[in-house]
Amino acid sequence: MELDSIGVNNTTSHNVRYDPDFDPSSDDDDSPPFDPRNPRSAFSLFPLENLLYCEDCHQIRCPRCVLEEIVSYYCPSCLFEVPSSTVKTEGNRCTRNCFQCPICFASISVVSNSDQVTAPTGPYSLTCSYCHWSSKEIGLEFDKPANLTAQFAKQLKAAAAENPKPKYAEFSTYEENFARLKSHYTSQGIGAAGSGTGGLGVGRGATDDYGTSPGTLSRLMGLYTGGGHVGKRNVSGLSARGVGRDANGKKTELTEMEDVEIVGDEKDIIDRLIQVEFDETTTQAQNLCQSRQPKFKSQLRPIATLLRTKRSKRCRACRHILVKPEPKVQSTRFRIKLVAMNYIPAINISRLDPTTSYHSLPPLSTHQFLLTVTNPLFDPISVSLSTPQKTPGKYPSIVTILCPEFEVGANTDAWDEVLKEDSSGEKKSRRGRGDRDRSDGTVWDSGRNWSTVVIEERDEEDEKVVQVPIFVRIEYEAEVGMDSGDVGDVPGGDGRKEKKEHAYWCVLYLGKIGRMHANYKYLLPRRGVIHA
Amino acid sequence: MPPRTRPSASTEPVSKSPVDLHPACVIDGTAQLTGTYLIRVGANTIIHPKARLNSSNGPITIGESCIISERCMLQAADTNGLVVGDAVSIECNAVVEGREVKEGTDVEVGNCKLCPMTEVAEQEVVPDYTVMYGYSERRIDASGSEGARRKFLDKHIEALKALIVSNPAKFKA
Repeated sequence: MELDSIGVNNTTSHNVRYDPDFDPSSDDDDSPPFDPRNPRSAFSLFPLENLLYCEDCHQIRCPRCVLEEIVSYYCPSCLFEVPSSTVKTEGNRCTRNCFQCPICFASISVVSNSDQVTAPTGPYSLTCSYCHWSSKEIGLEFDKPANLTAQFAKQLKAAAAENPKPKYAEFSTYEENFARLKSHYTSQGIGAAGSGTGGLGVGRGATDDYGTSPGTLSRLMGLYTGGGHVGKRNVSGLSARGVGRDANGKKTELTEMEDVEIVGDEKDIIDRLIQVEFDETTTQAQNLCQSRQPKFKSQLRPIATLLRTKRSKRCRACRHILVKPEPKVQSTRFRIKLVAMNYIPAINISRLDPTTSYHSLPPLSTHQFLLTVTNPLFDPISVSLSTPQKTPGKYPSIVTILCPEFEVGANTDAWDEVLKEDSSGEKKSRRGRGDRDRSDGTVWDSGRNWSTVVIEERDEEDEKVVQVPIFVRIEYEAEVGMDSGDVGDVPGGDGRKEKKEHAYWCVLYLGKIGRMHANYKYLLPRRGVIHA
Repeated sequence: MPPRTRPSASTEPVSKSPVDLHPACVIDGTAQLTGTYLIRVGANTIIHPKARLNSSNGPITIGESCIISERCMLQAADTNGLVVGDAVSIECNAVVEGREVKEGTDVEVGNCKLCPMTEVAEQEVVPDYTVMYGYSERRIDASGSEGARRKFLDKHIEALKALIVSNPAKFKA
């Protein structure tokens, strides 16, 4: 676990779904404690901020137990909402004027190449204002400043057609390769080319485009396995090994396509690598962002901006909507957002002794921490915390919560606390401070909607991260009809109270035990020596 | 080699430096021109308010049509002085302690662009048309846009001349 998370210390896990041994209805003592070191735990522990809450199921929902639905696609650069039908046909990139710099990935803008400042005329080029890359460098210029994607595609096509080798070499290779494969499969009668092939695929009445009908599949298998078993089984449409029928009912032999020649291109690349400097080759990031993974900077093309999505989230169990963003692209608001922080109390850890470091707690000693529970609900809650006596793992720590059951006040108006203090003339909090005995089982400190208790940890081994699983049970009485799910029973809410309960495991990262001193035995406080 | 302490970190007593300001330059009254060596400023150069020029260790020469932005710090490293060429734009908060900045350079420190937080090693000579960006990555600018950028700079200077009240008298001894 990263030590960075120590300061946060609040990781809430799911109880029911992801800890299969835990059943909330059964008694706590029967089920084994949650083990944060178990590899499975990595998938069921989330910071509280990442969790959602389903009001119908009264359950915490993590990123794994929500269903996501795409509300809208939009371009992050021009904030244009792209209809999903367009995304399906045109792809997931902006088809307007948005491009990214292929060198530094900043968004690039259209600039006139003419010297006239007042009335700019063509040609135009794409220029990065950050790293000064210009599409002129690769010979790419546009006649109009609008509809660049179409102009770009046209130029690529024209260049590939007239001059297949030097300028857009790798482009033509890919196009050629695709055309070759397509013609091969068409000639073999596979695929949805509409060739009216007798015996297989489309001709057989298969409705899918992907050749998943048994005939096509077996024929493909025949292609790749050499057709051994296909021949023996004599599948329908294949009268003999690798043989189909064409439109005229004539038998056609399936043939292997000859390998694509790319050896020549590699030789070109090597020759060029010898000539150019290292600076002219692409970095890995630049390479991966391009569709054809070019080796040289001169082959880089502007990258059309990738579209983004807005998504709504539903509870996997009841399909109730948990998060619903405003569909308008310009708006960052959410119509519905049920975050767990508004329903589940936050748990925080702080040091009792401010001089100790979380990163190197003194080994072989007892450490005390303050555990604060903050209530986000408008009703007071009673909290019961339970923790295994020893933390799981090979070298356990002994953990004791000095006051495991306590009350936390309601999340009322923040001014209430101030007014109360003024009237009573005495601060309500700071109850437990001072030289009191810390082991008397009372709340250390409390305020309007928070309470703090002391948690004690004694370790028996150095150099390890102390992770304490805590089972939290919250009980409170809420007015019936407050939640949307209960509206049917009591329409207006007549003040009748209903008992509610939440129970879940959470894991606290208390800190890391420091390295043990070589002569630790002599440094330990000796018992029995009385200071005279 | 341990990092050399910045000359700017030295705490010598502040003294008004001798200046040679071109009549057509614009210099705000709140700029700080300190040091003992000569500070020379060319025509059409704009010195923003609160820009700091320190000639304690050597003379500073600024060319024509430069923009020295707010809160930036120009300091000569040694007696060889600091020479800033023509049409150099030094952006906000930049610290320039090199020897020579050639024509058409942008410092966010001829025709280079140094983006914020990029580092030039000591004694390093950055060739013309170099762009330093990101984590001090370098590339040679082949876009040929220096003419357009110069035009843009001239417009910028024109606008700044209307905005900044020049007060060269304040710096004359």
